[in-house]
Amino acid sequence: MVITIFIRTLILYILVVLVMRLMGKRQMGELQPFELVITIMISELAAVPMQNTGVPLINGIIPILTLLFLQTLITFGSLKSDFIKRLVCGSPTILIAKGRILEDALRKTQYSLNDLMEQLRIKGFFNIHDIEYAILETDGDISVIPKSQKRYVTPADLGIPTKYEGIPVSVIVDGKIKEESLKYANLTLEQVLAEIKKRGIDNVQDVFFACIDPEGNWFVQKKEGKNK
Amino acid sequence: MKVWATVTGFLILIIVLVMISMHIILGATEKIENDLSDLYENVVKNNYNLAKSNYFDIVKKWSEYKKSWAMLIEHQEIDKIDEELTKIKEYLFEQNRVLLVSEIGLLKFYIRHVREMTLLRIENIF
Repeated sequence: MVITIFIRTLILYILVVLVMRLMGKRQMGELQPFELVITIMISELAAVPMQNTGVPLINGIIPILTLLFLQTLITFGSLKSDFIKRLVCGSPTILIAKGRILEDALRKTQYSLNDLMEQLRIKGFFNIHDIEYAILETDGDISVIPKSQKRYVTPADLGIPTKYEGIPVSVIVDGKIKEESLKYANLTLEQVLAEIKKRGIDNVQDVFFACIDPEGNWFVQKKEGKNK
Repeated sequence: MKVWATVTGFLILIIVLVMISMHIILGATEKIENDLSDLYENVVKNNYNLAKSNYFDIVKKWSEYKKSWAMLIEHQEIDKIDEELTKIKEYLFEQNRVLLVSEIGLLKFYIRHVREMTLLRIENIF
């Protein structure tokens, strides 16, 4: 009985992880209403056959796979058609326009003035005077566009030229070379070995972390416990 | 594209699983029902030797079907059938005709119920 539940849990866990991965990264972050529903349903469907050995595993597996198919279909549909996107996800609603709160929009979205003020405070805007636009997004989050005089100053505002900024590339992680990173950064294995040798490390296995930034600066950290 | 291929693969898998499960259950229920009808007739005719032979045939077939059924239907249904078969065995050896007839009828009902639950019907959906 116990071992059965253990094995069932393993199978369903692997299945749910696989399904959530197939649903894409969006499923992990801010959820659209239909995505939230599917996530809740999947967790519930997996839980029942997991603990009740009287229910065949297939009774949990088939609905989960069906939901995966539906979710993929809806996501694909909303990518291809604005109508489906609006139907399934709704559309963003402007709550503040040109500094004025839109009462009708608040009423339609059932968003109280207190909720709005709270969300604005969370976003770091304490004075309604500072806001040009506030938009209620389809995932329930609020986007705020402050008045031009109230936004953060940027190098462009000050006329300061800036250099290109790329992203640092992780080359060695926990003693293992990342081949795809080498290709991306146009590096050879010899270059990497030469770079770690400069820092007195003979083996890649002794490197805890190494990365290179777009300007060619290296960060190399030796594993703890290795001879300095 | 990769996601679509996987999802389509899963969909095909679901359809295949449904077809296979329907084939397994419908085939098995038909055979068991026929055997139960033979058993019933032999009990009614007081032909207990033949009835015992029918019963052991059913038990033999059932032990094979049970393994595949356990993966497809609720185990509660399988337990009910097991329970009925045990009762039938006892009444058969006691040659208790009245109780035998009623238990065979009940077992037939359980088997039919499994078949009806498997079929794609409007009442099963709602």
